[in-house]
Amino acid sequence: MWNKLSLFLFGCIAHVASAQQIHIQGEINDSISGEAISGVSVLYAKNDEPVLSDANGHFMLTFNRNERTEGLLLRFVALGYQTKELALVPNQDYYEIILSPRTKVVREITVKAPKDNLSSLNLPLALARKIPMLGGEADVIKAFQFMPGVASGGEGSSALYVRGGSPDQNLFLLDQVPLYYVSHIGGFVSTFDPNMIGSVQLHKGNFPARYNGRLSSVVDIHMRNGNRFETKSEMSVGLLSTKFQMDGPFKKDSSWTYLISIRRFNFDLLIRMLARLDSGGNATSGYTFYDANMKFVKRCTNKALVSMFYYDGRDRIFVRGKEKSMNDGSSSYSYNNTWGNRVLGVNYAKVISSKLMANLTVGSTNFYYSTKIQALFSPSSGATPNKNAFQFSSKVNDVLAKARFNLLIDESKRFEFGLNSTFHYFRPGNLRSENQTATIELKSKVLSFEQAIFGEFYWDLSKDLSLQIGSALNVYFVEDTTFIEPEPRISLKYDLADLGMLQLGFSRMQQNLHYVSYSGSSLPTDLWLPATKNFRPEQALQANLNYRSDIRVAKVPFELTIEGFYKDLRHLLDFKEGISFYSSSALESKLEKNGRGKVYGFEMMLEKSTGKTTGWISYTWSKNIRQFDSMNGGQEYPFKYDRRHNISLIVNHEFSKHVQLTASWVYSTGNALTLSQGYYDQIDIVNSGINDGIMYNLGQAQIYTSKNGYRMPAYHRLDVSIQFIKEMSKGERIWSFSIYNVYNQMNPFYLFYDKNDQGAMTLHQLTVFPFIPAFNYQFRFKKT
Amino acid sequence: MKFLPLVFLILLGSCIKEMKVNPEFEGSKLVVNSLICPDSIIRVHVSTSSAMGQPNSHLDDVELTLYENGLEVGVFFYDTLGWYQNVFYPSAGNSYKLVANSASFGKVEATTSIPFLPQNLSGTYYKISDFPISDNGIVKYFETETKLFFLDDPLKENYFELGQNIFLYQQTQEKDPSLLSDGDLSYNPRNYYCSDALFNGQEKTFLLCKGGSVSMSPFGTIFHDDNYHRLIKSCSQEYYFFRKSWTKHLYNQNSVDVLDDPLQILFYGDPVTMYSNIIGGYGIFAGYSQTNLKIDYVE
Repeated sequence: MWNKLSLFLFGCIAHVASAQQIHIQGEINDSISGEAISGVSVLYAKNDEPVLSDANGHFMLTFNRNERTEGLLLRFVALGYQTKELALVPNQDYYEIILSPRTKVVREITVKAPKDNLSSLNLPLALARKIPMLGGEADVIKAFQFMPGVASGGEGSSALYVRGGSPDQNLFLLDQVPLYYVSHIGGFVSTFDPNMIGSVQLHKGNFPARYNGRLSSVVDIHMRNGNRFETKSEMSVGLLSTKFQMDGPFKKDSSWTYLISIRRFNFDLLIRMLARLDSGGNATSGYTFYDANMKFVKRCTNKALVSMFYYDGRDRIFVRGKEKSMNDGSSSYSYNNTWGNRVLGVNYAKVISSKLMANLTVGSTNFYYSTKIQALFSPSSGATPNKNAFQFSSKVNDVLAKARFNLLIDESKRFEFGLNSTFHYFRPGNLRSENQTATIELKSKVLSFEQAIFGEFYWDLSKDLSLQIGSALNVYFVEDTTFIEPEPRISLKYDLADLGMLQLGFSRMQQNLHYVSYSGSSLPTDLWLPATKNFRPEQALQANLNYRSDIRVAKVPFELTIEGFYKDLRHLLDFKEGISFYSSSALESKLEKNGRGKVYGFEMMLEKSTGKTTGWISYTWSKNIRQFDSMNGGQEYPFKYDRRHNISLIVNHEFSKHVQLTASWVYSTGNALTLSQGYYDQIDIVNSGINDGIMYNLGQAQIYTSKNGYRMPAYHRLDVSIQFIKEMSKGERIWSFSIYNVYNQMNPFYLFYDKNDQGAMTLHQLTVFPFIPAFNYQFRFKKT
Repeated sequence: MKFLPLVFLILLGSCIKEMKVNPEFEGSKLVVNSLICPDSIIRVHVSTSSAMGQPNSHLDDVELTLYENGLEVGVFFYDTLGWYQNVFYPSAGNSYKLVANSASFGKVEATTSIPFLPQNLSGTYYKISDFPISDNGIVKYFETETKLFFLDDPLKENYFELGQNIFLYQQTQEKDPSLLSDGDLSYNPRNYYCSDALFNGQEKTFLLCKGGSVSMSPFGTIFHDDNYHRLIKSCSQEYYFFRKSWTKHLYNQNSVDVLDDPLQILFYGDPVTMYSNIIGGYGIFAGYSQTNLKIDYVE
């Protein structure tokens, strides 16, 4: 059925005819940095719904030839920028628009939901950078957790659970190239340095056909291109990290710009010192991470842009030590745990003609993980040292090419088409165990190729009604199997004039990768695996209904968004109940396949984005269910992160241009987990001697609630941060002070049984983040 | 060591408090445990299940009745600490039913059977490494492998439990298909177990790592044990389910003091419900036959 539907969709698209048109294009840039501004509303007399500029600042407009365009006034509106008007002139079809920031402080842009998709979230970066976070480290990915339909995995975690999906079902694109692992410190900080980001958009539903490969969401991140007019540098020191960033043109009036940023985690500096002191210099240990970003951009002509970027991020935990043993030998030990991503990409964006824009990307992404434990005993006699070593590693290497074309057909029709090709090389779970007597090595390697051809048609059927219909045809080759699946998408949007806007959407997504993890801790011991004949690609069907309206409450403007959704997930994979990650048997034997998931709920958000006080409140009600034939007796059970209620409140108040206060409050239903409700004696044999020599032991068996049948207490927390900004002779100084968990709510991180003061075994909770203050010092240097 | 960041975070800011509410408990039930084999008289342990934090109690006033192929056999008497005995030796090939009746907790029952040991059971072990694999300066050792042979009964499903002669981490070296598919090696079982699903009614040859000892003196003289012994069990289905379930269940107990073991917080799997064949209560009543098989050395 899907194949037929897909063919039908492509057939529809092919029948669209082009009429005699006039096409106007342009790019919109910041007057200070010269960087592209995305999400700028382009308005003119006739269109009451704006056209928005894309991530490269481009916009396209189409008029009928018999329409009079000469002298037509275009209006460019973006929050944080002064509105600009421009009259069209004859025989010019390309314009460069320069917008000036409204104030010095609010330089970053804030935009509304884009034209085509009401189920997308555009992160207001200016506000996101001020939301108080753990350790004072701004985090744009965590900022999404305050938005409707998006939940966090656990205390402090940067993992995103979008509409009940798991974190692996989110496609993170950095300038079109995917990243596999997007967290540091076990999920407490995301890998994206906020200073590097130009725009971030999260799609929860109504997915455009150009996105494929994941089930639940797409987080489309664009790095900044670098300042075109002057060199800027910035340095900040905080409790968690130290950062340095520099960007600018290679030389004055150069067509090249660059952007370099480095961030380093500070914690290991303290830990190394403490470990050395504690061990008398015989041992050291630490944890550190870094991110390095580079981007070079060349503006070839007015109508073409080439960019090259590289990202390298790595986490490392290490312990090393040596000691003298009693029998005159010496021993040494080491533990090394590293993981990270390397991403390389080249992008070419070109306005081919007044009707056609092209965007080509080639790149590679590499995710690696390795644990190595080694112990060496060297006898003083000079005999062969006794060595024990264990190494576990996994790796994913992708090489990809993408092509996307945007064709303006006429004033009411647009066609986007292209292809995404990815070659995957997996090493999922290599194990090597070595000791004096044997070396055991388990290796696995899988190659796969993924090809998606997509086309999507945007059609304004009438003044009020618009249709978006398209599909990707996903062809996936792995081992001796080929999977061919269409991924149709359709959405219908109706403009209710003053009452708002309504959108109904349906999409089918496929994920050719599986991800299996333990306990949601987000440490990268979690594994990426390719779908194979035994473990089919995961699939999701999603239907959603969205409503958006601009309303006024006591003359104060707000934007109201209400959405309902239903999502059906198939061919999910998980570890078998109770399996151990570090056990030595083959990985496939540890996995449970063909799981199903069902998620439904509704979300609402009320946002205020103008005035001195800005922010939003969001509420999500949802139900999230899983079912595997061999788990929980085949019965449905609540997903671990099934949370009935989620509430977030963000408020930012600008007291003056020198002092700003941001507060956030979150509330969510507690996680679901399986817990002992009781216990009983369980017999076991400790000695199987023959002829009445059998001896028994009595162990303790637990009586569990049904799977995930217990709810942790509800989670809530208030965070506050304040920024003091001061102009100095050499630049701008910003002091930020924040408090995480202001009223010291003891939120449970984990529950366990232990004896209380009276010696009775009772349930206890561990809280890891009580009241935590933090500070950050930031200095933006003036022109160098 | 590997969870250093978490440990640091815990040290810096964590706090532990007792929760006011425990999960709701379903109420105490009768718990009956007995594993029976022809080598021993029957012993039964009777107690009650309890809510977490509450003490459990052994019961000394329970009326126990054992049936062999439908006929009541022997008489149970109370020993101590919840243990009852019946001076009766069960035998292979029979089915058994145990009924426990308590004035306070009602009646529970369970059935099982004792299978015969497989036919033509024999085993050998031999050296497999061409060169000595360790060197402690005095004696060098060779790797060995054990072969077990028997004929599987084609008329019914059979289950087996085999003793281990290796360390847990050496389970990675096992290559017998039945153990790999059915043996739950990922859970580090204390003994091997499997069903006959892959060799029903056929001659089965188990290949097992290790067994016995083959060594070489510094002067090149080879020594080996003439034989060694390995425990072989033929199990009832109840015993097999119990063994599988208990192995996984033990692996994921969530009542230990987790702070001593950060692994428990992050990496152990979800809890696994314990199998029980006691109708109306908890525990296990399961039969098996066993032998301590002499395994000879062959060149």
